[in-house]
Amino acid sequence: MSGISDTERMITLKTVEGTLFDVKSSIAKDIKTVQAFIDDSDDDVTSPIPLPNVFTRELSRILDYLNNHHRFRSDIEKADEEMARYDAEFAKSMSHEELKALILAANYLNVKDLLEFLNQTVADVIQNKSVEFVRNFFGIENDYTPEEEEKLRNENEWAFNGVEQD
Amino acid sequence: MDKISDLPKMILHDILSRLPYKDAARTSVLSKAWHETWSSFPILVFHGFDRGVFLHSGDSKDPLKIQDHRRKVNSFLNSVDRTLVRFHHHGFAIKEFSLSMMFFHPQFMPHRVDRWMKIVGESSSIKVLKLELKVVEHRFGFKFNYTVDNYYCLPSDVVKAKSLTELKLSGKIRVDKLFANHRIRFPLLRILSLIDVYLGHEQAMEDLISGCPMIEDLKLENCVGLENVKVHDLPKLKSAKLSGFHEIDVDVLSLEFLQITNHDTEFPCDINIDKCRNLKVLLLEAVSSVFVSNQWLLELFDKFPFLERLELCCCITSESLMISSSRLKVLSFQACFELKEAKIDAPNLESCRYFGTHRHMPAAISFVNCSNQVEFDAVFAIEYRLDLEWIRAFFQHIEPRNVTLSLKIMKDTSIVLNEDVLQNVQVPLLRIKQLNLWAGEETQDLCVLLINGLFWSFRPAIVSLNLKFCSRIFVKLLLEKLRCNNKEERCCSSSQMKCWWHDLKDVKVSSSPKKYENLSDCEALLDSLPINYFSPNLQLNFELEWD
Repeated sequence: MSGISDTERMITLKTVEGTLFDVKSSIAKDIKTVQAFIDDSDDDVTSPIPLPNVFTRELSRILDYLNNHHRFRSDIEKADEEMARYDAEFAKSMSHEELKALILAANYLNVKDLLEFLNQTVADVIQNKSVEFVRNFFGIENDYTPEEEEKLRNENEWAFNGVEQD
Repeated sequence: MDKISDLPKMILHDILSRLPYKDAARTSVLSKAWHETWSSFPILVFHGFDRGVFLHSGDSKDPLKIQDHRRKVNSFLNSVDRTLVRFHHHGFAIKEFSLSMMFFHPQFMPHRVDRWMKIVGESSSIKVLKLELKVVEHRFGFKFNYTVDNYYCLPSDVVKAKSLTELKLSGKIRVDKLFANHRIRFPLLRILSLIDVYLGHEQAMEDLISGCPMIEDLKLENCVGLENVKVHDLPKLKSAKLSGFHEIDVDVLSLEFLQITNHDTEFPCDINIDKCRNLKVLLLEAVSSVFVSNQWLLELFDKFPFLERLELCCCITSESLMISSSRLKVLSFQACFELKEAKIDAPNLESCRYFGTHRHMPAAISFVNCSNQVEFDAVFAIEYRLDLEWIRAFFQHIEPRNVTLSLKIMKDTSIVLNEDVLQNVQVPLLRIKQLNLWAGEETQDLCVLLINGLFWSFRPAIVSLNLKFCSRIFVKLLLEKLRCNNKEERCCSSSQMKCWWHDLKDVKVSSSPKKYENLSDCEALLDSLPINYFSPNLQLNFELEWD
């Protein structure tokens, strides 16, 4: 490691499409896959780090998320409140397709906080909802015959007690 | 394929782990792909009660109900069997196995539980093991002999589960034989909880603790055959809850949270905790060997300079106490009936709680050097007789702090309210932040009196009630009164005493779960509930704006 302070060092990331992103090394630390790449390199990383599984759209959103979270964390006073507001907006602004793409990208890049947040977003949709609602919401195709479904529901009867109709 | 179903299993399992177990189980019905995901979900929770396997005590003589219960028990046991065998067969990881049954049969079931423990113990990924086995006699229609011979013997397979981070045993389980024959080592265990289990002797406990050096959270409650406990050499221990011991000796520098409960008043509990210098929270419940005096408090704050939270429940105290601490943030007195007067000098105090009943005059509590922002919670459980003057007097020294008053008023409670006083004297109305009500009263006259009495005495910014704990007539009358503020006519112009609802400017309604947003919604809800049916667990909040 060089003696230059972390905040000054920049790391370049390259998406599938070949788009380059310059990232502060303090942000790169939260992207564990990138950090592992840096740690494994003998010299300082100067050339762009290729990310063969990550598209420009997702990387740009992930960096946006990380940059904002870093900014909130530096301002301790309002951190929680602003972060919650930002997260809520972030979750709302995604289509299902984007949500999925982002989960896969966050999983590949191993951005723990973001992945947890995204998974929680999916869980929040499912919680307290009927099977029909969840199917509709995510467009999940019901590939059971009515008899098969009836049987499954009976086997898991306990899980359906007390579910309010949405 | 939709956008979610073909995510990697690990991610889907993480999503399921964020849901209540019932909700996670329901996803198995979404589609075949989701069923497959659920089938390998590594968290296995089998709670008899949650799965509807219980028999009301009233049904214990009904042969049909008993038969039906037996059928449910069997189907429950078979479902645990099938699931574990499937996991074992496919080599699926098991991260958590949690089993709770109140119908444990000491003759017919141990071999089955043994088989489950074997599979769980052999799973290299097992992190959490929770076992609750209880015997409720009427469920079988005959009596059991409760000697330890009828306890379930924890098998040695459990000892193999070296990856355990959490172990919770509760109920008719004995571990003495296991501990006597095996060296117990759970090098990663962080949470250990033993409730009602049979340990045999003190050495067993000490051996267990010495084999689990990473414990952060320890709970020992009413362990059979264990009268004294020594907790030493747990360098990571942060929290300890100890209940039902005659002698407690804790010497752990890292300890921050300590709760000691001792309901057996015949045997006072000797406590030696002086070396826990870093204690932040101390909760004492019914510890008869402690006499809370000013001297005791002085020594306490001296011994534990970081103490931030002190809660005393059913403790014997001096009549008058002076609580003086610069660190203290939370203070609570619950059912400390000897206490007549308490002066609190604590500049960092954030909240203070007082729990009383109708039987004992509440203590006079006053604050010195305390912030006006201190949250003050008062809870009174009232039976037979509610004296509102009493409660008003209690708040005399506490105003204008953020007061939340919770009243649990049982059925057939008479309301004592001196109307003469209210009519002739200009009483300053107590503005409080929140009034939480449980009102079981079922006669109209008493409900009217109660509602009027409460609002002649207090001006709460929020009134909150849970339908489950309030009679229907009470809720109905309250809604009616809250509506009155719209009326132009002055029904009380001739009388000296104004109707309280004329001071009401606005009422906003909210509920949780969110559903009801105005008074009409609530009235419609009330009308829709079948008579003689348990009301739902629904919180209604009325935000009141006063003149």
